[in-house]
Amino acid sequence: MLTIHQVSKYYGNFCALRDIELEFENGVYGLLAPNGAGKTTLLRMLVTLLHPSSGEIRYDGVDIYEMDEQYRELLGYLPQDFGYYRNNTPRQYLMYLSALKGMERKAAKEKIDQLMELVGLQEASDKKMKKFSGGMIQRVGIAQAMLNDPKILILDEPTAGLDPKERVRFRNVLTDLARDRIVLLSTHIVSDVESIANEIIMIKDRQVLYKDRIENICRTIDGIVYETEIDFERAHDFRQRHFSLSEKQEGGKLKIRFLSTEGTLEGWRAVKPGLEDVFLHIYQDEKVGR
Amino acid sequence: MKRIVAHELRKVMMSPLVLALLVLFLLYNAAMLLTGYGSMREDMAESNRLVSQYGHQIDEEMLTRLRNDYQDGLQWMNRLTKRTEGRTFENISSLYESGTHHVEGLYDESERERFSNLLAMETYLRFISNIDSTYEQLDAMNRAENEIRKYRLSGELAETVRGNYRELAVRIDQLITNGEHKHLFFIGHIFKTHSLLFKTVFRTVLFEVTILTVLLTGHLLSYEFERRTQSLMYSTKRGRSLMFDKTVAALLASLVVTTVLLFGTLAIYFTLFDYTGFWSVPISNALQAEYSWPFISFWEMTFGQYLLASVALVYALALCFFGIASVLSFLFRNSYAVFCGFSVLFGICLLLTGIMPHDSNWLLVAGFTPSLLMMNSDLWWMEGGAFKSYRYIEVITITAWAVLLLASYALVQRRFRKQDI
Amino acid sequence: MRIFFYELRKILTVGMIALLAVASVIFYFLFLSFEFDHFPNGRPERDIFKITVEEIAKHGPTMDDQQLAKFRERYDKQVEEANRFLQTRPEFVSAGITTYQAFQEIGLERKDMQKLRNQVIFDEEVDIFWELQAREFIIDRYLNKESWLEGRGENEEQRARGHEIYLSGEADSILPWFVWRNYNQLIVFESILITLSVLLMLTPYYLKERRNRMFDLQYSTRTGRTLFRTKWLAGSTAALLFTTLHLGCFFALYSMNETAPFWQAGISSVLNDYASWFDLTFGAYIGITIVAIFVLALFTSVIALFVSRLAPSYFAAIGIQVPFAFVLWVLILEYLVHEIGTIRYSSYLPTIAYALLVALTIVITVLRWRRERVTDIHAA
Repeated sequence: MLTIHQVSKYYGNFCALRDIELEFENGVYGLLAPNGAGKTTLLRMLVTLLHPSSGEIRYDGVDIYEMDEQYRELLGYLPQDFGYYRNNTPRQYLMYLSALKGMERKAAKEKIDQLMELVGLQEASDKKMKKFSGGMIQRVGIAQAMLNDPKILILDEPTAGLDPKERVRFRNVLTDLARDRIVLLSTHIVSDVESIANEIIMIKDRQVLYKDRIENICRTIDGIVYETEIDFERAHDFRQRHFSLSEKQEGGKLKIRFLSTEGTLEGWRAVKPGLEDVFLHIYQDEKVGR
Repeated sequence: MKRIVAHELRKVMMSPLVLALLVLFLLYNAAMLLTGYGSMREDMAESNRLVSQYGHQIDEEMLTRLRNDYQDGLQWMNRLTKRTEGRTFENISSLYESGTHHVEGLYDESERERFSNLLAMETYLRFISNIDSTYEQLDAMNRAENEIRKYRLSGELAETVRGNYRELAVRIDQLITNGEHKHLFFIGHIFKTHSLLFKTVFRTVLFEVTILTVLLTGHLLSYEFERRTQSLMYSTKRGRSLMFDKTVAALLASLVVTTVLLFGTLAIYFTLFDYTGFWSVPISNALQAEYSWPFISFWEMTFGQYLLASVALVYALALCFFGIASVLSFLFRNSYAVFCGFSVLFGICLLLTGIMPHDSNWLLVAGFTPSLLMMNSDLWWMEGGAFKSYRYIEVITITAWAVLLLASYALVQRRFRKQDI
Repeated sequence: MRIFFYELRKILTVGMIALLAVASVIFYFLFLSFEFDHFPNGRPERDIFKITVEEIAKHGPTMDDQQLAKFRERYDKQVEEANRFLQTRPEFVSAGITTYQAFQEIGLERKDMQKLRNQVIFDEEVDIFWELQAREFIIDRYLNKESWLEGRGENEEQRARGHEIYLSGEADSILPWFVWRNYNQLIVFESILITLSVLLMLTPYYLKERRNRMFDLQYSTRTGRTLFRTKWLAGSTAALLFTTLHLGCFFALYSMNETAPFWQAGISSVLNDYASWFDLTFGAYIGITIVAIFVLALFTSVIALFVSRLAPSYFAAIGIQVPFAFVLWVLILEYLVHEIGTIRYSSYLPTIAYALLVALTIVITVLRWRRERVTDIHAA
């Protein structure tokens, strides 16, 4: 079990995270927050690249910095915008990382073959990576993270650059893996985690706002999400009064999904809130892309 | 476009590294000129005093005045020494040799000052007396043969060298008729000011200029590739023309760096060493000679004009090096590779003459490189041995490289426009 | 070990090896080739070289009073030979010059005879006259060794050391000045070339990893930050490996100067124009310069690695190293490699300088490693 206790991180005077309190057991966790909310800082602390300014992170009760290589041995990490050698083939690259991960050469070779097949790169495994598309590179990154069969898999924006088909395959792999390990993935794309995460963590104002199952989080805004159809002319006024979640043009009218605490009016349909609705609700006062 | 250039220029000129290196280089140059030249500066003040008193042109009238004053001084000196030491001296040098001139209590400050004036007169008179015979014996063709033997030249190359010296012979005659050699200057055999200024100072500044120019050009032009912002930058409205803007910025930065280093250092030099009376002295004057063969410029020019021409050549070389660095930046897109590539090219240019046959004019052509020009900064616009006997070397080297570099730049720029990033 | 070789391979890429080779070739032709091609340089150096090598072959690398006496006998014999030579040349006989002594005493005012003399010495290059001149030089030095050695000191301490060299017999050793200078000239430029190569080789090392954003992945693996240590080690190893290979090539070339006979000779020979604080043979001195170069290479590698790790760009890395290299090379040319142990400087200079270099190497390594262990690695 991985626990984060009272962890804060400051960069000089700037506070990136404050008093974070979290616990992870086997399963898939989705770290959901807009860009710049401190997701990457949190993940980089979990992989020992950053040190908390205060507080501690423990794995099975032991401080992860004290565990040192015993902890990192359990780790699989895909950084956002991760590094690679342009002139290497995926196989060379993975062999190098397997050495760093302390794997036997023979075991590594077998594992690399498996992984190349898993991420659908067996054809390209001996081609230089400078010729690769973004999606192919990302798949090499995913393979790399899973190389040492990690107990803790930490993925920073793993689905960036993957096409829908690859996303589905990737999700299935994760669900499969999560049975006996911790998988923590950060994203600002709600649909990525909606279907696979057991629990969602949301960070707001440098602190953990929610860490709960999706149903529970959605329940917090039960009864204030509605849908209705309005004329285009009224759209501007309507948006002034209600927070619009999504809009769609349908049969000459505007079908709008929105938040309201004023009770049900004529023509409004109460709908079951989704994760995306919660996300927009929570961060409605934050500027997008801060 | 102006704003982009200004932005890029600021990026490099405000970088602490460039500023630190500029300061460091200037400090080094100042330290180099401040240490070890104390007494020389005092002696050079004597030369200035002579010029202010007698003018710099050496003619009969001036010589008569100088000789008379010297004789008067000598008589004064002997009256004085008779009184103080009870003996007389043949000339002022023997007084100095005896060492009594600085014995405490024997002579006072003003007397010592006059001794030193007298010594300067005597020294100048001695050197002046040799001028005519030296220039009568200047034999360009003899020097040509010596040079040809020294470097074991033969065939068409030897003929070319002979031809150059035939032209030099004409120039020497003209020089003597003009009387360019008969002017006062700092005595080269004693002070070696020409080497100090045009070799030590100019070459040092050139090295510093080269290092900074190549560094900042490579840095500016490969900046986006090293930061991996290339896809972003080269897809903006300005697009790949950005590279051109960057080149302009690097060019301006190189000029700024050159100006600061060159004029900064020259300001230090001329503050320390007083050239007030010598700006209009012909550069081919006899007294400046540091070896038995004097400095002979291919054109009649004063020291001031020569300095200006040399300053211009420093700029030309800086631009050449900037050009090489910018072409290399297009090819390598990595400032480290640009720096290494430049150094290798610079070295190869220096070695080129070494691999040419000694009987072919190609040996001369191989010397037409900016690196070699830079190493010969004390012989610019002048004759300087077999490989420096052709009068248009500087002009041709710079023109040829300018054309070569402009063409290469156009080529790499065009390739860059069509290239996938 | 596997990681170590991965790292070594990252440093010694084909491109890098090619760059270093080209740099070496250019440097060789610019600064080294002269001392290989022109050694010994002209006459009478060539004659002195030949004679001293002969002497060493006969009786070892010292010339004591007894040997000197024999040497003078051989000189006298050669004078007779010269006499015979002059007597066979009608132009000298007719000018009344039938002995070597008369030949030597030809005055400057006798232009015609000067011409004759120059004809024999410079145009015909008759060996005997050059050799006699060389022998005279050698005899003169050994006869006047006391004054020669004391003349080398500028202060009391130095003059005392000169006298000591005279008394102890160190001065009797046979090592002509040009053999010494040739080696010093060569080894100074060799050390500059090696340190330059080390800078070239290691400057891109960490910078490339940073450009490739590899730290995130590397430091979160099991190996973690100990990789920094492995890299540091790989960098230094590459530097020392290169130094070894380069020195190997250098000494292969140097062996063609055929100075081996002098290796047993003491360096403070009266034939040399150098005096050392230490009683060393030329061979031991060569050994010391080799050790010095290894220390310099290691020190330079640490500086290059340090700069490479911290500099934000190649531009900064090169810019920082330009002044460093300049200072280092000035020190090499004057104190660190050139004529180590000369009495012109304090006798403590070499020890202190190299102790300082070693200490700096260690301190920088330890400090950086301590820092690296705890420093935050930020996203690129």
